[in-house]
Formats: sequence, C-alpha cells, structure tokens
Amino acid sequence: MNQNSDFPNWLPLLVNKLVELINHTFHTSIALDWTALAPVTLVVWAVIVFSLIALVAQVAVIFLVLMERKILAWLTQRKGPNRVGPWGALQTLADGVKLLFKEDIVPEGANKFLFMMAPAVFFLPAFVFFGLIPFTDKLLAVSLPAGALFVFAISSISVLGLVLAGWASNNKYSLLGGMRSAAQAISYEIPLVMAVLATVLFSGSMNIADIVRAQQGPFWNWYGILLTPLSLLIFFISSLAEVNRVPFDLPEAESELVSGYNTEYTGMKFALFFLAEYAALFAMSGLTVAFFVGGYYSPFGTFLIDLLTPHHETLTGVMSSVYQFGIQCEMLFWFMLKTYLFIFLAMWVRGTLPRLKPDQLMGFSWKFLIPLSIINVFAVAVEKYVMVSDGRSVLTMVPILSIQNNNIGSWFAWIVGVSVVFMAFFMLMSDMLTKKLKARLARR
Amino acid sequence: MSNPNGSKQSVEIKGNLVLGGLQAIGQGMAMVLSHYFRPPVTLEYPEVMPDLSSRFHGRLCLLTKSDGTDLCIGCMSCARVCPCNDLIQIEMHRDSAKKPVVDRFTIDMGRCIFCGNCTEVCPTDCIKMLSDFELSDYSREALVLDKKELTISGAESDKWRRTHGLDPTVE
Amino acid sequence: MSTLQIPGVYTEQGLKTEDLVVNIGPQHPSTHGVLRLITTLNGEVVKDMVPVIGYLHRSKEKMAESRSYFQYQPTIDRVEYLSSFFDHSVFVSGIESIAKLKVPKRVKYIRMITMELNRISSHLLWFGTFLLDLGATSTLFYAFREREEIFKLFEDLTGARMMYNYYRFGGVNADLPVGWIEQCREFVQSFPAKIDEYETIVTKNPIFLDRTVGIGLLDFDTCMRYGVTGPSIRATGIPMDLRKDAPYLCYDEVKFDVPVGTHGDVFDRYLVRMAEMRESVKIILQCLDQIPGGDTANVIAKTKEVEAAKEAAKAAGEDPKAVPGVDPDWLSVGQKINLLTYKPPAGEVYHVCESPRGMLGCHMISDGTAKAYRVKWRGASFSNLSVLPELMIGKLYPDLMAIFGSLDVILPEVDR
Repeated sequence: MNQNSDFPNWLPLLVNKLVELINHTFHTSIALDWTALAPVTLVVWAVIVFSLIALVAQVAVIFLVLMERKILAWLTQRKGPNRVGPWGALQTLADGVKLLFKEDIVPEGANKFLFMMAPAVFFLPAFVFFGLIPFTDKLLAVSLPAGALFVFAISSISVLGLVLAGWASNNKYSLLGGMRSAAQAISYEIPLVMAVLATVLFSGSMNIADIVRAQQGPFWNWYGILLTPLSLLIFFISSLAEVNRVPFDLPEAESELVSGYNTEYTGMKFALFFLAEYAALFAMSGLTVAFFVGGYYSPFGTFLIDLLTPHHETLTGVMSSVYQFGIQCEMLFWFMLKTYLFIFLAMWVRGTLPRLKPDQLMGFSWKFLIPLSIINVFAVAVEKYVMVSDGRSVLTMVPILSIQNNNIGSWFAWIVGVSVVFMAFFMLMSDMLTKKLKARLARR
Repeated sequence: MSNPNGSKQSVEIKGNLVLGGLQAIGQGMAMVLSHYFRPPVTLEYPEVMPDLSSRFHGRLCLLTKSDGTDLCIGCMSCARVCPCNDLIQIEMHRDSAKKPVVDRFTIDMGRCIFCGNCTEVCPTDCIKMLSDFELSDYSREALVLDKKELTISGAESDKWRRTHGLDPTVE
Repeated sequence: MSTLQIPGVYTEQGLKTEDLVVNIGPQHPSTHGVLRLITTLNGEVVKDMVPVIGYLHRSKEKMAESRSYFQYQPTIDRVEYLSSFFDHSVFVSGIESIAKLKVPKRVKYIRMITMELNRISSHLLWFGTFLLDLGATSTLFYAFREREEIFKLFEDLTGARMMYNYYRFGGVNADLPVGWIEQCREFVQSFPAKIDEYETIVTKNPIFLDRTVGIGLLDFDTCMRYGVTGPSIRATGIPMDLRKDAPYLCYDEVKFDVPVGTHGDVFDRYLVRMAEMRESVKIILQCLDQIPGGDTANVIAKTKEVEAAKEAAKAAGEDPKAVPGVDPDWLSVGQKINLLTYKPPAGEVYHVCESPRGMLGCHMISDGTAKAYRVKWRGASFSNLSVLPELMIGKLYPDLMAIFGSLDVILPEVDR
C-alpha cells in the first residue's frame, strides 16, 4: 500500500466490490488481492479527485476574472462590474458568451494546425498543476515523489504554447511578442526553482504533499514566515513573471508594439489564453501556499479545532465521518484563503507598478534574482545545518543550542557559514549590482 | 530669459538602491491599498442622476410667455451666430397686424455642438438650454427637433426663468 | 563561410539583415491622438522615425474666414481641447488688442483662475496617460478623479465640462456663480495632498526611475532649433516661462516660482510638470484672495446698493450720475458689444500665452469686416512633436513610450 497517497479507507473496498462486479458480469477473473488492485485504486482515486479539483478550479478561475476587475476597481475608488448578476457575479459568464459568439478568424498564411493547438498547449499545463497541488491532505490527485520538479517541468510546456502562438500567427509582431515571452519565462524559471530548493532542503523530500506536511502547525512553522522569507519573495516575484503579469506583462502589453502573441486570436481561442493565464495564476498561488505558507494548515494550529470539538477522538460512526468531512472543509478553507490572499497580492501589484522594459526584465532576472537565489540556497543550507531537523517546532530551533555534536569544529563551521552568508547578502544589497542605475542617476 | 529664479526640481536617490527601491515600492503599494477603504466615487447612472448646474448646456428649447404663446419673433439671431451652418432653420412671416409668426423652427440636435451661442443673443430670451442630456434616438431624422418638440409650456418657462434669475412672468 | 544558398537570406558574407519598417499608428492606444510614426528598426534600435501628421486636420484656421468672430468662438475650444481656456485667451486678447477694448481687472483674475485650473486638469491627464503608457493603471483613475472635481467647478461656471465658450470680447460670458470662489478654494486647498499621493506611488519607484532617468535627453540647443517650449524646455534648466518673461493678464501681481529641471530627461519633465501643478495651486489661491470684488454675492450686493442710492438720489432730486457707481474693475464685462454685428477695426496682432504644453499663439489679421481675414494658430505640440525623431534615432524602441509620453503632445494642436 502506497503510504503517501492517503486515499480514504473506503476506496479499496469500493474498488474490490467493483472488480467483483466486473468479474461476475463479464466472467473474467481479475485477481482481488491488493498487489493487483493497488494501481487501479490509485488511478481511480486520481481520476475522482482530479475531476473534483478541475470542477473547483474552473469555478475558481472564472471567479478570478471577476475578482481581478473588482479588486482593481476598489483599489481605484470605483465599483467593479455590478450590473450582470448580484455584485456582478455573472460577468465572466457574459464575457465568455460574448467571446463564444465572436467570429473565429484564422489569418491567411497562418499554420492552421499550430494556430489551433497553441491555446490548448498553453492551457493544459495550468490545469495539470491542479492535480499536483495538495488542496487538503486527502484532496490530492497524484502524489509524485518528485512533484516539485515535475511541476516546473510542466510549466515550461506552457511557454511552448506561447511560442507556437507567436509563430503560427504569421505576424512578425506576434513573433516578436512570443519570443519575448519565451525569453522571459525561461529566465524566471531559474530563480523559481532555486527558491523551491530551499523548501526541499528543509523538508527533505520533493513530494509536495510531504513539503506541506513538514510545515504542520501554527504559522511559525511555515517556511516562508520565519525560516526563509527571502525564498518566498523570490518565488512570488518569479511566479508573477511566469504568469506574465504586471510588472512582467510585456508580452501582452497594449501600449507597446501590439498585443503580442495573442494579437491574431479571437473568440474562444482568445478566451482560452485569457482563462489559461488566470488558471496559471491560481496554480502558481496554490504552489506558493503549498511550498511556503503551510498549505492547508491553519495559522492557529489545532487550537481552534480543539476549542470547537474537544472530544473529537471519542466520536464514532456517522459522527466521525461528519467530523472528518468538517476537518477537510476547514483545511480547504485555509488553503483557499491563503491562495486568494496571494492572488490579491498579485492584483494589488498589478494596480501599482509600471511595466518593466525587456532589458530591465532580463537584467533583473539574470543579474539580480539569480545571484540572490544562489546565495539564498547557501543561506538555507547553513540554516539547515545548524538546526535540528527532527520535526520539532521552529520555535525550538535555536541555532547555538542545537549545533550537531556541539564541538568546537561545528561552532567554527557555524560562524564561518553565517558570516559568509551575511557578507554575501551585504554585497548583494550593496550597489554593486545596481551600479549601472546609480551611475545613471548620478551622472545622467 | 529675464527671470533667473527658476526653482530647481530634483529628487535625491540616496542610500542603498535595493532596500530603497523595496521601500518605495512598499510605500506606493500602501498608498494604492489605502484607496481600497475610501468610498467609491461611482455614480450609479441611470438609477442616480448627476447633479447638474443651472448653467448646464443641455438640450435646446423655446421658452414661451407665461400664458403659453410664442416668444420667438423670428429675428434669426440664433441662426446667424450658430457655428454650424444651417443648423437652425427658421421660416417666419408677418401677419396682418405686422406681428411675427414663426412657421418653422427646426434644430438638428444631431449636429448641434451645445456651445450656447444662440442662447446668448436671443433678444426675447426665448431660446434657452435645459438640463436634458439624454438625447439618443433610433434615427438621425428623429434628432431633428421641430418647433412643437422644442417649445415648452408657459408654466415650465416660468420655472426656468425663475431658476435662472430672470423675471419669472413674461406677458 | 556559409555555402548554403537561400536566396535573399544567406549571402556569401553571412547573414543578410533587413531593417524592419514598422508603422506605429495611426490606430494605436498610445499615440495620444491619431499620429503615424514610420519607424525603421534594426532589432530594437530605431534607425529612422518619420512622423506623419494630418489625420486630425479639421481646417480650424480656414473656418475662421467663413464665420464671424463670435460664431468662430465655439470652434476655438476644439483647437486644443485640453487647454481650451488658453486657446480662448489668446484669441480674445487678440481682438481686445485690435479693438482696444477695456478689460476689467475682475475679468483678468477670472481668466487667470480658469486658465490655471485648466493647466492643472491638463497636467493631470498627462500624468494619468503617461503612467498608463508605462503600465501603471491605478494612477490614471486617481488623476481622473481630480479632473472630475475640476470639471464640476467648470460646469458650475460655464455650463460645459470641456468646451467652455466662456470668454467674450472685453469680459466673460457671465460672472462667477455665488459661492464658486469658496468651492474653488476648497478644491484647490485639498489638491496638494493629492499630488503628494501621486508622488508616493510613482516618483521613487525603481521601475519608474529605470524607465525614465537618463532617457530622452533634451538639451537647450536642440530645443531652440526645433522650437520646443513649455515644460520640455524648462526641464533642460532654462526658466523660460511667458508668465514671467512677458506677463500677460495679471501674472505680475501673483507670486509663483518657475520649476526647472537639471538634465532634460524624461524624469525631469515629469518632475517639472508635477511642480507646475503645485505652482498653479499657489497662483489660484492668490487670485481667489485678490480678485476685485471678491465673491459674486458682494458684487451683486454692491450693485443693488448703488442702484438704491441712485434711486434715492433721483427721488431726492439730485443727479443720479453723481452717485459713485460700482468699481469698474468689479465688472464681468468691459463694454457691451453686439455680438451679432461686431466688426473690430482692421489690424494685425499676435498674442501668445503659456499653455500647459508651451507657447500657444494666435496670429490674427482683421480687415474691418465681421469675419477675420486670417487666423493662424501656433500650436505648442507641433514644435514639441518635431523633436521626437531627434530624440529617438539611435535609441531603443521600448523607450518610445516614455519619451513620447513625456513630451505631452496633443494631436489636435498639431493638425488643427
């Protein structure tokens, strides 16, 4: 039995019964023992959960479109859409219907097959993400041992979709836009992955479910709060760049050359690009939460649950199932709250900051974020070395008291390591890296 | 170049650029967030109508005397000062008592630029502007208002004159 | 050396590159009007840029020849719709010079107040659209929120939010409404705090700084060669401002500074315009305090008083003309003019004012008839736009938005 997938107890029984039924109806003789049924169970569970998640995600993405407009409006002292449905809730539906009715134009000379495939190639990876993010401890479609790596591999495929869109449009401006977005996405993959390296180092596993489980407890146990806030910052900035959001939305900027890779797209294909961007935003925020902000754990720990249901260990039968269901809801609530908090942060940033130019964009990634994330990895490694990693709460991890073996060698190592890290941070924060801008400001 | 006293504008960017930049971005974002908590300035038209001033340049109208008879004497002053040629079209004749009678008075509201020139030169304070701005219609021809559509009743005219500081009753 | 022979692409010398000729506009969200820029790009570097104008030509100058002066006035607002009071001011001053009309001081103050408010609203629009081109969307809405307040003030004053048609020969259309001065003062006193808000969001933002500092450097000689005026030339360090150099209306009676920049880049032009908004606030507050007659309620009360005194004098048998009348400086119109048949004497005059974009001038030739012989507008944006190729050639293409936005070009003024 695969310990990591945490599927509920009734699933093997259900699969057992199903296989018996199949055996009975079709007169086959599939073995009923666990070794044979385990993969089937896994697949069935994955399909069930993924359908559920896809449904939830679809609604979430549709909601996000409205949320963006409403948030941007409230940030500028306006009301957002409020005519279509109560509080404008059906606005996205109206937009979708409008886009459906639009004429589907394929430019002459465009590569028809690639033109049609590009939105799909862009759209699908965002949805594949949803299978890997742990919404609650049981609501996880697939639990891959190398989940963290797989997620970023998949996100690179969506970059391919952008390039395809740019190429297949038979439009030199779209090609330029597609190339730019590909360059941007590739440049920002590196800090993204290196920031996640920090959490992998701490939790000791690349399985996303494990990473979340290692952050069990109140908010001080979460990686992004006390242990490595810098990683959280780097990850957040890079995820904005991955999703092509302001300040990194050069590929779709209207006031630059043209609308970039989606110039030639109309109707439903455009809607797919649009929705895929929001799906990717949701997925990236979900990943941020999973890696850095404790996933589905409540910031109060089990305090609230213990307060509300003091005797939950003694519940049996139906009440126990209801209790379990309630716990799942509570976890989902916290996960969604934190995800939407990060989405709100992304929208807040969109309302404030101007756009980066292409050279600024690339310079920021290669000359600042990547060195910073390399040094961050070193810093995290030092942190991990000087702390005990037996799963105790972060509050008990006081460096000086818990150096392994507590001898002069490890003290020395600790001092050297911390000094190196501090020096590196100091160098980074100094104007060495921003020399050019400072010179421009001083001399002009 | 006679005044050497220009006040120099400059912004000093000192200190660490990275931390300073983060601080500036943070301050900017806090400023934007502070607008979240201010009441929206949206006016929910058409449920709420905007508060217009009394001098508002809305739809043109022809005032009448307090008893409802025509005030227009057909002098063509308004047509002469209108910047758009042939916008105001007036035809009049004099009756047996040499009193002016206006046969036709049309204004093409579709071409009117709402400048208010006509309202200033009218010698009898007849052509004026209302606060009506909802003038859309389904055809261009419907926007050409004739005398009947332009004229407002005696009571309304008195009200207009009262709210605009003119003598309310005109005999 | 490549042996691959693909015609037109590979040559024996290697790769053949071709410059990309790109049409920016006329339909483009960021050209502030209908402007076509034929740009030759080599990669991201601009090798040549040719602006093509004329898409917004409406024959404003020709229209003056077939309309009487009063008939022409509403069209003057539209020569440059963001600074319509300035357009009106030069035209009306021209007539007043030719016909030697007396302009009461109250009128001059009213004109100054309205022109400075118009400057604020024009700079607010520039601010919003400049930041929008750079990518920040919220600041546009904040700027328009303030513009809405100014529009409300103007609507109370003139009846229209944007095409005012307010100045008349020797005066204004109607005096200020009662209580307008208080409303105006309220708005203007609350405005510097708003400018501070905008600056918090924008001025020290590192992304903004990187996009604007050191970009689009304009020096004084280039400005002189192309005739660039307004904030663009003040950003190079020269305090060239008509309000100080050749004061018109009553600008010599109010105290204000002329903001100048240091290096003439995009950032300096931004700083100069933000500072100009603050200076306009100062000017308006002083004008509101110094306006002859104060609030209109005073003027009305004084007029009634004088009339009552004249009645009393007549009743007492004395000469009503001996009763001192209302101070002529308190009037809102100098002398009554029959707008229908007005014929100024023959003459030629050129009046120029400091509009938000630079020197806006009107050269008028009147031949004694009811219609002008010739009206020529000197548009500030026309000269400001002509310097764009010089600023852009040799530079990177993405800087176009910042540079073009900072020049504050309004196409109607370019094409008229």
